[in-house]
Amino acid sequence: MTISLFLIPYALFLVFYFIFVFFNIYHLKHFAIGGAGTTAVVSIYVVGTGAILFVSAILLMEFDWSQSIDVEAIQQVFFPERIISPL
Amino acid sequence: MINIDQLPNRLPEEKTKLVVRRHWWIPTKIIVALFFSGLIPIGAYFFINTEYPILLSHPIAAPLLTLFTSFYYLILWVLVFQEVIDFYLDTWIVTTERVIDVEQFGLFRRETTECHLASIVDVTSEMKGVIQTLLRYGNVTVQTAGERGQLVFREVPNPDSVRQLVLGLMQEDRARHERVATATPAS
Repeated sequence: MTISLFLIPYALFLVFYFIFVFFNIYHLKHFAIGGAGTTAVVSIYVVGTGAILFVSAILLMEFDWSQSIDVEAIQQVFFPERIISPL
Repeated sequence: MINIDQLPNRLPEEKTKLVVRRHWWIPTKIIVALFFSGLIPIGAYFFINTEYPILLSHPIAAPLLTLFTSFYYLILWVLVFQEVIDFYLDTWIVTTERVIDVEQFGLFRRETTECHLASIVDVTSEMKGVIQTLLRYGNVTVQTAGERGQLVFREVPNPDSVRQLVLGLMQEDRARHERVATATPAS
């Protein structure tokens, strides 16, 4: 089992996130009073979302996602005293 | 988008006199709170860097922390914009003929109510508390004779001016109707 497993809930979250973004933009486009303000709000929203996703993608690409999940390695980080070393 | 000069069911002589949204303080206080929430991961980074530096280079913990941070900032960003959109879509429009209340509740509930100036029986404005008094915002309640009962302009800037404007337009509307009634006597 590799750590790429953690990307599945993240991808599911992104799907819901994009549905949410779509409906928000839909509401702004259809129900807001037209003008530069509405265009500015939509632009800031899209650019901000894009920026967060871009930075996330760059940071996430640096990791080796084929790394296997090693429970002992995790224990070593959080509870080093619990690891019984062989005599 | 709604064109303010081409409102639905617009009457021939109808002119828009006021378009008002909630006071800027209402979304600002929530956005500021969310901004400070955005500083939490930065603080957490410095804490982890000092107390558990191994986590930042750990092959499992580091990607997990990055995923969680991305998740956190995306949620925060969507909450900020939910607040902005809620502020932006809640609009009250006063024209020479009617008052229109457009309110958005969450993603899928939207209410539009309108009443003719002739059906308004009373207009009251209210500023409650220190912040509302200092920043000069509050509620304007338009009591109507219709089924709906009342329209409330929630947390709008200068509620007294809004009330006076609506009262003035009501008087003009009444005078206009009286002029029309006297010009065309019943046969």
